[in-house]
Amino acid sequence: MIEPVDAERSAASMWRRAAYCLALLLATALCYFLVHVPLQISDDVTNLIGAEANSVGEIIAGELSPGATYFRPMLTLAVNGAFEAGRAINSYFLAAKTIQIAQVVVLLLLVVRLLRVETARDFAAASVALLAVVGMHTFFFTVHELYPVNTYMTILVCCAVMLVLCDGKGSLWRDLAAAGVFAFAIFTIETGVLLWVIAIAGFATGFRGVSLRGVGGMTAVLVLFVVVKFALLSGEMPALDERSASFGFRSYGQQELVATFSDRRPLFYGANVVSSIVTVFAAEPRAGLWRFARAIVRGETVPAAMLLNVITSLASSLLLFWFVRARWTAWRRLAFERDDRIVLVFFAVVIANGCVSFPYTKDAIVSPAGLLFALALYPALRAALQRLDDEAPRRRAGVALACLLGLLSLGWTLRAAAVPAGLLYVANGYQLEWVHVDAWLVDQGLPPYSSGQRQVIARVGQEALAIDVPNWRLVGGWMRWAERLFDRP
Amino acid sequence: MGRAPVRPSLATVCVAMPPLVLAATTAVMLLATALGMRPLWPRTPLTPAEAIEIGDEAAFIRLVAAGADPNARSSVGPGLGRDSTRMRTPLEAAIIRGQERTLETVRKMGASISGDTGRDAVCLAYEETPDLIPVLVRYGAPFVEEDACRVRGAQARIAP
Repeated sequence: MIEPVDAERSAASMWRRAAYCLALLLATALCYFLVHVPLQISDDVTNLIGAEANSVGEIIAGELSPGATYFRPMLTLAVNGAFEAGRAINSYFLAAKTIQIAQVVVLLLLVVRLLRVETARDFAAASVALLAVVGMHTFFFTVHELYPVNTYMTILVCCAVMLVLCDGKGSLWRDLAAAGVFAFAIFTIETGVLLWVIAIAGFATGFRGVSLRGVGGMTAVLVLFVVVKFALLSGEMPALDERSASFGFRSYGQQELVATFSDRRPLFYGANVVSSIVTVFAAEPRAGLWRFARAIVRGETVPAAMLLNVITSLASSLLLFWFVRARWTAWRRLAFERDDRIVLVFFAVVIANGCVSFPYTKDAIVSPAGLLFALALYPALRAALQRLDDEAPRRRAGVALACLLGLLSLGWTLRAAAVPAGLLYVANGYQLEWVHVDAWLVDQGLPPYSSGQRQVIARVGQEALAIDVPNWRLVGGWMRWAERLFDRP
Repeated sequence: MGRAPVRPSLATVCVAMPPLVLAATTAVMLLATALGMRPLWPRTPLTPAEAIEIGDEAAFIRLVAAGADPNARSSVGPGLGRDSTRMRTPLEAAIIRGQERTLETVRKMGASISGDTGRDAVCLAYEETPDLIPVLVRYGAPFVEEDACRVRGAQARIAP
């Protein structure tokens, strides 16, 4: 005879396996599309030919030279590793895509690991959270570009690893791993500092996987980073004229940006912080440009894709704030359950992520907050489902609320399903860039290339043009409506 | 928090249904892809002239690399530039598209721009995109006066 506890355990195991299967299925489908997206020229070629011409030591020494702004040795190692692997197998594309696929699969599996699925209700909420991870507008920019390793995706994986480390019983290996992962992340790109925020917020709310000792080790790494950044390097912030940006309802070119904001930097930086935070909750603005509000103010038609993104994100945010309200009394007593910790870590990360985006904001930079948003949606959705089951399963209001949650789920499903349309669009664009790569190289005005560098460019271009990418205007079937539902910024 | 009931509730079903439908559809599509079909990115095969006329130069390069003749006429289906199906060479399609860089791609991939082909191209450019005439001449097309084109009746040859 099967004991009830065994049956419960068996059911939990079944739902957990189902969630992992869903994650793998999603990852497989996503990777099918990703392997059809060529490497882009900008950044990618520059980094690859840099790796061809200089050793890791030389690049890092260059980063430490007087006047240098960034110190990203782990990024250098990753780029050079991808380059060497590509040279060894005579396919830079294959090397870069292998790393990318590994990152995507690991990320989605770690997300399921964090969700701790045990029941049918958990599975339902987890499936929406998984689709939200992929469908979140901030996620797209972590997969469509490679440099040839997408550093923002690296940070997403590191964030998920850090959460997994925090969520468990404390041990020495977790502390060491936390410090190691943090060092890797922050010396890859500056947004890696968010891992420290995750650990601090996690510890403050009761996660004990990474102990005070581990948090101390991470803080020591942070101090080292600050010393390198501000004592050894110039410590300067990115200048206003480094790139174009948006403010309010319009975009500004580099010179225009300097002319408009050089005397009002706090206003521009403040707007970037606000935009970075709001975009996580509302899928708008995008890279500082308030397109949705502009369309409303000007009486323009709001595209279906933009409407889908905004409604889904706002509805999810409402659910999240409902969860906060429901748990507020317990939070005031500092009584945090595991679900509370995830949500509180999200709020800490979204604020920190907004703050680090002050000089420049774009979707990819706030992708860690986007990932945490999807993770925080899980406990909120699960709590809402439980409340419905407990209080009003058959009442009309209960049925109506169930339908509303179903619509929210449908919204995230459509957003995730539309991602391939965006990938197809950029794949077409990258291929066209490669057709005219010679003109691009001349436009850049870079120093003449060595024969080795020219060989690298020719090989990457050859691989890019060989990919059978259908034209985005002629693609048929479900992609026709997916194209209309993908919100291209 | 309490345990969920054995049978999933209405709300749970409502929430799980869209992701499950997507998952099932995706699984079927991946299976079909493994069997050699292309349901994930369904597409209409392009001819070389069609690829050029819609500006998909990468597709044109792939077609030529796979053995297509860069000088041969091929059909341009309705909806791609014109209302009805027409027969065009990639060079003619590039002139109709009107972009110098597209013309350059066609030339690089082996399209002939000299002799009669070049004269016809210049005549077509008078009608479609006169800005491209100097480019065509630079690429080796013989210069033809507009009046001479009328005589040659090049436009009539590409009409349906």
